[in-house]
Amino acid sequence: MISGLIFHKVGMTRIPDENGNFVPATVLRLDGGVIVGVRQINGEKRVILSFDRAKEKNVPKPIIGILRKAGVNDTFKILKEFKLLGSTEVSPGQKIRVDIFSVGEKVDVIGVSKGKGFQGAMKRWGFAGGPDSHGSMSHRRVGAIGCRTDPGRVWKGKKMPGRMGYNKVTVKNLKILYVDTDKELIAVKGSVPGWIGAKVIVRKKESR
Amino acid sequence: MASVKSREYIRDLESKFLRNDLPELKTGQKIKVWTKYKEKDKEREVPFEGIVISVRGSGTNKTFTVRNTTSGVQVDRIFPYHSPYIVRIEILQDSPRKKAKLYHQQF
Repeated sequence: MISGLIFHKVGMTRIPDENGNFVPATVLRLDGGVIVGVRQINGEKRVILSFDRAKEKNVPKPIIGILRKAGVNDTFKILKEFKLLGSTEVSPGQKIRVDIFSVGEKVDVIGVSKGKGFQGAMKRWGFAGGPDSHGSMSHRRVGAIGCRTDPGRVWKGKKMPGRMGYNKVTVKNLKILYVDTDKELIAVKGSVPGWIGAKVIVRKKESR
Repeated sequence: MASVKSREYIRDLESKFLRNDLPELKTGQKIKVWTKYKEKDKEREVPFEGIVISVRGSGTNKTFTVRNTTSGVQVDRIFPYHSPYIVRIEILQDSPRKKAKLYHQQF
């Protein structure tokens, strides 16, 4: 069985879980999932999969070459390698469906978080900020950033304002609430890093 | 931006969880809602009677609010319309109001 797949984030909604309680859910859609190669590294079988359907003119020629060599006629933009769990036999050209995931299973979702731009220390690091009133002029300021003569400099890695977001984020143990093999949709409980349309990796827990 | 297509996927997914067996609700209606209630290993049906003061939301997010006065205390209960906990809804009195929300009214 393949250890994971790349999905597109479709959006959020609320759907009932197995107890009938409405829970927040993120809808994810699979676009692709065709095997283009199988290889062995250190005795571990790995599968190269293709995702994200695109026009041929928008895809680098080396990727198209790999796809055609594997006998894949559709054009995909992304190639990504995943582990092969268990002793399933797979061959190039085979399409992996979303039913490798089952309802109730827990998965990890890896994505790139939304970019927040240049942010202050209060939003970025959760600093307390200064007082709002009584003559205070230090509302959202960082405050002191160092000591005195010793060390006479600011520590490396000091938390300060700067670019926030657009980091690789892993959310662990999200429960799968829904799987639709025909429409290639799944829904996981809770939120997932990234914007709508972003690509996220959904990884099986066993492949950690 | 949420594309038209992504909204379609969500609507399609939500449609699997929508209930078509319940009557359409309007504000002003007097209704009785029967809900499932789990008690250890027994399952009971509990009624809640009152007047619909609000129907809001769409898809699985649709909820309605029922207001009732029990022993001098006003009780508002908000139900998710498509909840599997709702067994059935009886419409006792159908007198729709002109207002969409009846938050100001005492019953």
